[in-house]
Amino acid sequence: MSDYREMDEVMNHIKPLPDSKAKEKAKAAFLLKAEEAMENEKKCKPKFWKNKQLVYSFASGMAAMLILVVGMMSVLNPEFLAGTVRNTGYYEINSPYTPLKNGDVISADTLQEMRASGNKFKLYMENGLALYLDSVSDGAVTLQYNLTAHAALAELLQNAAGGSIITLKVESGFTGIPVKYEVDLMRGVINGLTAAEQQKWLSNLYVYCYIVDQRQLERYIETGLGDALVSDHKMLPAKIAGEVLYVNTNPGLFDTGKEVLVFTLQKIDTGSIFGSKKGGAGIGSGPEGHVGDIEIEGGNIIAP
Amino acid sequence: MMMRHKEGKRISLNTYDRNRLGQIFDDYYDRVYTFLYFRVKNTALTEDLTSETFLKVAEKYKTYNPEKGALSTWIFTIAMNQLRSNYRSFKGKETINLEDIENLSGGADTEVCLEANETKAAILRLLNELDERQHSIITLKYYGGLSNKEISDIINISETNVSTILNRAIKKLRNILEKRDEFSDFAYKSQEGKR
Repeated sequence: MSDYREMDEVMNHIKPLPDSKAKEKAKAAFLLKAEEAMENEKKCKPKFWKNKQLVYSFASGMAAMLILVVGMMSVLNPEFLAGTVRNTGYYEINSPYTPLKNGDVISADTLQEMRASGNKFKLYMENGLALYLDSVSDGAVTLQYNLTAHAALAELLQNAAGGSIITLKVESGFTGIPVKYEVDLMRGVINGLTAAEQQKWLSNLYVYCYIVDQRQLERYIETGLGDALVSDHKMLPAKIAGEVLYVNTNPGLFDTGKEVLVFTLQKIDTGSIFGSKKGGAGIGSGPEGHVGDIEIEGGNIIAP
Repeated sequence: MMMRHKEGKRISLNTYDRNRLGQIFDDYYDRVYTFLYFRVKNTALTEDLTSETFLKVAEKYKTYNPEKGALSTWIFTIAMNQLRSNYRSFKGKETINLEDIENLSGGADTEVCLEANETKAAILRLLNELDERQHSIITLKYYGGLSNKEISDIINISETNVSTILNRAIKKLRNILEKRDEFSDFAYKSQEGKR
């Protein structure tokens, strides 16, 4: 400490003193510079706004990037797949256990199950990003099917089925999950029908849909034996609107690999057509052939 | 102080800023000047560098953040930067002439003054014998009036290191002065001069 004090003494005596005039001049310049700096700061304020806008632009750009990244992450990581399902425009996506509605959230587990089912889906996420899982194309997923106006079957059933019958064989489609088929009736299927029959099909709001074992159906057509062709529970809700046939399917009822759908314009009285040798049910032997009402919403069919 | 905006609108510093800046100038000008003087050892160049330092202070005053460091640290850092950027202009030209030595503060008595001037010249020469870092620390300490902590912030070394270097430099100066039997005489004469 003593050293410091002594040095202080020594150093203080060799302290140079600035020239007072130079100091005054420097002070004036100093304050003037401060004024200029203040003026520049005021002028620069619009620049600040510009910068702020740039910051906002940058921030919004980053936000868009973030959404994109999250969207990409969604595809890569099922944990992120908690988007909202919108009206798909073609098929309403349902999960095997919990039917989904518009606005429902698909859990990662459900999505994994959907993926594991081997079906093709197209999901729409709420943020506008479309998420495709094994999608066949960029457009709507197309159902591969064979829709036939079945004259031979209609002849066998005479007028019991309303004059004509259409059969639907799903070649590839949704299995193991409830899904709604949307079939265009104008795609050649009714060409084999008369104009009057066509008119009947197109004007019928509700049609009757029977799930029929394909081999049994072929045997029936071949032999005329239609005993216990279908059971009461093998029916699906179906509806025609805007030249489109809508069918709600259920994996518990309809096996696309073994069964075909038979559409009729009226309920079939199986008792008069097939008889009931063993007391088993024939076509239309169930309660009402028309299984519940179905609604159409946004081009899709909604199950009751 | 008033000035006219290009568009004719008069602008001025507000009273607070004006007083604050004026105070800063008064508090630090001499300290910065002295510090710079012992680094460049040229009156004209010291005035220029000090003036440039304070112009920077005025220009950047609004950007100074007290949370980042003391005002003295900020001002002397600017001074050090001025020194570095003008290094080429003074390096190798450091000379202290007789007039400069006489202008250094000291006793009023002529005899004492003459003797003191010789001692001052000797001390200045001794200061030159210190290395760059020791020189910076000594001048920041005694002419900048900075604490060891503030010096450590400017030089970017630890406070302990500053203290160690300072002690060594003082001992070195003291030894040299004692060898010349000038240290005690100087202290005595300076006291006499003050009376």
